[in-house]
Amino acid sequence: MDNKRLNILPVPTFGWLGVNDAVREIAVLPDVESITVECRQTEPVRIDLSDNKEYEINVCANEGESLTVIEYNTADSSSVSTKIKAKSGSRVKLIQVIAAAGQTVNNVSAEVLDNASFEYVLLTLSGADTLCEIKADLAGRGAGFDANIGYKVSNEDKLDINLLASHKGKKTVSNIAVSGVLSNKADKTFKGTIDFLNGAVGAVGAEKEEVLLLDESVINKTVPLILCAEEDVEGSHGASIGRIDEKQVFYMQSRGLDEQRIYELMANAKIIRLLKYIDDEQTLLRINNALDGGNNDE
Amino acid sequence: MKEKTNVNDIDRSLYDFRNEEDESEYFDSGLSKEIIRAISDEKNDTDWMREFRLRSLEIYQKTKMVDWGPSIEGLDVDNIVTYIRQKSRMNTDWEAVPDDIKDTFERLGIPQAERESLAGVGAQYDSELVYHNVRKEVAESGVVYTDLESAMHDERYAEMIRQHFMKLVPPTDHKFAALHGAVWSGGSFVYVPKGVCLEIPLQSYFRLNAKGAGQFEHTLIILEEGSYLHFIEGCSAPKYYEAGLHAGCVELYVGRNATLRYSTIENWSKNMYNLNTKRALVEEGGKIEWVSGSFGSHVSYLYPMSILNGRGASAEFTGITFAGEGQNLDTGAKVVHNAPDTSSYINTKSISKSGGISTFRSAVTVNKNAEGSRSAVNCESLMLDRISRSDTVPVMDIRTNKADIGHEAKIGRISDEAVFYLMSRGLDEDSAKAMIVRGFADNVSKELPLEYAMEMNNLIGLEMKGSIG
Repeated sequence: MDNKRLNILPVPTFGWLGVNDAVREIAVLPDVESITVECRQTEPVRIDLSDNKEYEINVCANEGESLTVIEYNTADSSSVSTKIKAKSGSRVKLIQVIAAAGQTVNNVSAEVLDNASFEYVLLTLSGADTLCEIKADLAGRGAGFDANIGYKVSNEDKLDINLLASHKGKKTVSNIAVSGVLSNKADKTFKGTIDFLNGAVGAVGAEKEEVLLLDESVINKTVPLILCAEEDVEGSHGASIGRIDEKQVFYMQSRGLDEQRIYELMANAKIIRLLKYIDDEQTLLRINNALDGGNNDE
Repeated sequence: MKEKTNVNDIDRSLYDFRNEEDESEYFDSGLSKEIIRAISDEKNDTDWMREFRLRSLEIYQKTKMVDWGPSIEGLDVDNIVTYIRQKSRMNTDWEAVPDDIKDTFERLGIPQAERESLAGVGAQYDSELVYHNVRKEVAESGVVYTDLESAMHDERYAEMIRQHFMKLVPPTDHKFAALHGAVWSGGSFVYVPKGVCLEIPLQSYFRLNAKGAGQFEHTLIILEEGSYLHFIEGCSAPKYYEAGLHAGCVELYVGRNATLRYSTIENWSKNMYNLNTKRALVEEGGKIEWVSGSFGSHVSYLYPMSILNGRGASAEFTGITFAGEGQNLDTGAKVVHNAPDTSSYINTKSISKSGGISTFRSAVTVNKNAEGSRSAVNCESLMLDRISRSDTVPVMDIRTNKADIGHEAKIGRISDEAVFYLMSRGLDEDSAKAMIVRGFADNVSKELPLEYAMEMNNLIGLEMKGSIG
């Protein structure tokens, strides 16, 4: 086991908060598998990550092409590195579902060129220790980045997400929407950074996280950064953390639902929100099975 | 060709005058046990304070520099004079203050403010208080407002101070808290008895005149149950080429159902490193209100902390930071919710201009026992050109499901839509932009007494000229 410093916050802050990095013992995995996706695909490219190994996945969309890649991770322990190049005018969609058991180290880096777009969907359903680092380099003029992230963390599991949207090109756009639910000693950190570099004239970035906490045993850390070295930009972030609105609970109780069922429904709603971005029947079926399994376990 | 709208930097001419110093009154620069013992001798410290200083020095020497925030490489503490002996003793009679010092505070408007709008005034010049006075009727109500060192030697307050001094900000807190513990000098002690509400504020003003020196005043305020106080703190220094250091410490104890408003207009010169620590402990039903304007200094680390320790305790932080050329101002607030039904509200604005760097940094921690607590953080940043920088670094650490926490932040330039709207109402473009920028700073000025709001507006010096290009 190696002790490594991962998910380093782009601008460090008060050390006692424990958010500047994630120091973990990382299992050394014996095998490495390389996968390349680069030609035009009409169907989504589905990659099953079920073995305990390192995966190196390279995705390249040529000019004007569209490409959807779906990674479904059920490995006990894995390290996944996905590198994306979205050439001018292309569109890349990456869907990652993590329904793992042990430790997952998941890295995504994307270079997005002129008028290209990168759509990213991350759904984490299980995993004792999940570390996700996502870097979108909006290098070209008009490059776009949409991130939709959902998580369900429970049973003493840990989740640490470090996302960085770097606005380099003019009129680049990023939208980051995160929602999740924590219960039963879950420990989650979400670090989301919008970085407007000098020269990113006309760039717009927005970030939002909604977290539902289901009991008193959880730890939630939310760290939404905006870094700005350009005058003509618009950046915003918002966060809402807490319990279910009492009025919503009252309404649903008046419709005959008991409190436990209401909480189950609201928790699943945070995840189901993401399903509309997953336009693949096979994957939706697997997610539904995983969610049902989770409910049965409860 | 039209000239681009220009927002001027702060006009510092009011503050950039200096008096000649008698350097024979300087202690040696740097830090050693000998210097600490000499400061202790000078102040006739009690045994526990002498030991406290020496222990703080040891902690300072063992503690690492912070590994986040703006660079403080330009600050060499070994070259900082930590103590300057004063030519005169502390006075309660303004006429007895030496002429050059009196002239300094006259130019800053302190005596006039005392006459017109304050219940009491303390004035510190370099390392020592030179003047402290409180209105007779305020003193008769049982309010104590004096310099901390006199109070420490007064048997009526000595034990109270010993029980509270650097208990909220221990020397182990960070390297400059340890430095403060070792070399602190000057500062004020305020005690407000149960049920006493001061209708008009007290003010302490800190002036660092000496070059290459540090100021390490300690402010200790204790509010008993049901009392109210508005305390105003002002600070300034003339500009030198040598780095100066301000590492003060403020400890505020807010009793049950008491309210303390602590307002600061900070205008250190641009050679100063402002590494100040402020902290409040708020008991059941109590309230701390911070109003903070950060305009000066070369580098600032300033994050007043509120520890909400009793049911229903609350904190409000309203702040503005203006970072101009050569400034790296890292400011914000910290709140710890450590009891049920506590609430906090942080509302800040920052302006970056001419290469200035402004960083908003915050930490909201909600502990497991803080059921029913609420917190809202709102920060807005305005970039006035392409060579400046503005960062927002908030953290929320939430450990109960029975709390409601919200956060919003925005960054951008002056809105074209807002300018257009105001122009449709008859304003020209210059006036519209000027109004928007003045309005941006309004959240702090409206929280200050009128005289100070006017001073702040003067300080900001947001003068618009030319037309839009």
